[in-house]
Amino acid sequence: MILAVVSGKGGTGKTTVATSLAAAWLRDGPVMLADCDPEGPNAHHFLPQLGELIETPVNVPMPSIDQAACDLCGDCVDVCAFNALAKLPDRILFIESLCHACGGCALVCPRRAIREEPRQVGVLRSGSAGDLRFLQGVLSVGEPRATAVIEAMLEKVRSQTTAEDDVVLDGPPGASCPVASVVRAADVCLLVTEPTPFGLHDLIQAHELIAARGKPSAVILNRSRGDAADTKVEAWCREREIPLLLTIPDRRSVAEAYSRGVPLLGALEGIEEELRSLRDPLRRLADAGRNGVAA
Amino acid sequence: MKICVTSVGRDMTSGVDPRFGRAAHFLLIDTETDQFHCLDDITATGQGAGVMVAQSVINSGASAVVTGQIGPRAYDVLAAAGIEIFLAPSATVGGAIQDLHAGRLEKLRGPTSPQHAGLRA
Repeated sequence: MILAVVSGKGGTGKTTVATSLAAAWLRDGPVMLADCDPEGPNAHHFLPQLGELIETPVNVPMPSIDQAACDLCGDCVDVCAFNALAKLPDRILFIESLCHACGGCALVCPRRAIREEPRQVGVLRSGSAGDLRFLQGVLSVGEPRATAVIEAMLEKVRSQTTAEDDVVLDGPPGASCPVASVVRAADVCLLVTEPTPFGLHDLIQAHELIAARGKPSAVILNRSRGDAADTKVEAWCREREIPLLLTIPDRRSVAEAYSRGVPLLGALEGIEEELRSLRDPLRRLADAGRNGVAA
Repeated sequence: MKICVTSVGRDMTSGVDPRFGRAAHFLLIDTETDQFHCLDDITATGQGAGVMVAQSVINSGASAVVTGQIGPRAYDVLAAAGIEIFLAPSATVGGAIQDLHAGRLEKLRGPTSPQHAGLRA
């Protein structure tokens, strides 16, 4: 099962939940944790047993134009949906910062004057923390597209795991392209939210993104104070028939442990068994989603 | 010589639109005949608006641009095509053309604004 932990709003506890789930599920079988936030990877802080990581580059193909072979037909400029090419009176100008590396310009060039050349935009780091397999993507500073790194990570995840393995994808915040990439690869999504208006607003937005891709989802409500603020999230889940699988209490001890890099398991009594017990309902949701039952 | 002026309206009495890539209209003025027309086929959407508009300016045959501000990518494209860029942020289109002829407009030597400034204006 590939599980994506997402939230919409940042700071609701995605990484806390993802690292703790991965640790708890290790007792039941092989688990891989992939930190899919290449713009701010932080899951490694919560893996005290993490060993050495092996680094591989992530490259994207960028056009290289042979101006001598170009006859200025402008087909490449017309096909570029991102305005990354301009036709000057004497040559084609490439604006790298707008390029999405789609390869369209090289495909349409009738003179074969455009060759694609790899350019590094980030790295993948893989290793293990005890029995937990770990993968991390890091986007190079100044690079605009986290999705290139995420897609490379997901390819590696698929090639290194079987359907029997549990994969926990610690997703990026927000509800834009990087999140969409992670959701698309998942069998089921776990939305971590907090009982605030902002948390609920972004929960709804992230759920829309998940539902539009036909993926099943469930919710964890983090930092609950057991007061009226919880009921809005609970009511929304009930109304949408989205299972609210777990409510994690707001405790100072959890925040203190977090600040020392200690995941939930070491900070909240009984949480390990609760997280272990989420595996079966999430697997059932994932199976139902694959069979086209869930919306 | 043809000059492209970013404009808030469709005629010479309109104000210069201070934005380049996201300008409302683009007037192309032929200084030899004093004829002008509105480049209606330019609608910049999505990413790379400045580059897209710069491409249209190149295609129009203009040899100079008058606008209020311009970002780094549009600047690079126009400069690479040898098109001169002048600033007249608070004039009318007609006034800007007169100022240009009188040598009162500042010729740009680099972009005035960061990327996407026109989206915030």
